[in-house]
Amino acid sequence: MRAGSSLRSRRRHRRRVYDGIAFDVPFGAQGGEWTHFASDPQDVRQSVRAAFEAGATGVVASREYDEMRIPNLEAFGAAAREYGRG
Amino acid sequence: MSERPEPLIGVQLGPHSVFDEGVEPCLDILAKKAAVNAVFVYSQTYYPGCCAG
Repeated sequence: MRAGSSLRSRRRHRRRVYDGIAFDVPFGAQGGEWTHFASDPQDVRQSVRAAFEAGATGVVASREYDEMRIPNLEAFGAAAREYGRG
Repeated sequence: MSERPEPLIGVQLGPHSVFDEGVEPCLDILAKKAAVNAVFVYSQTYYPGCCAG
């Protein structure tokens, strides 16, 4: 979904929207072992930026804390501080 | 001019994360590194054997 379409939808419905920013999500279990796809901190930062620029009321790091790596948590936090204030 | 309210900066986590790391260290990491001001703690999930309690 493009960021612009999300913004148009929000303006029309005037609801609070909290964008999920998914990173470091494991996938593809084989033999009981999951492959962990390490996200790029720059991608995480740009995703948070895009969410706030599209009018998000907030963001939620997804899927869950124990999958997340510190560099991506730091990128998420830095972007939230920079772009979340508007 | 109205001031924009503070945005919700959240994360979902399971209680096992808090037990593993300790409440204070876990919340400190989230607040300092990820700027988190809202925590969504789940108590049930779809993975077998991962329910709290």
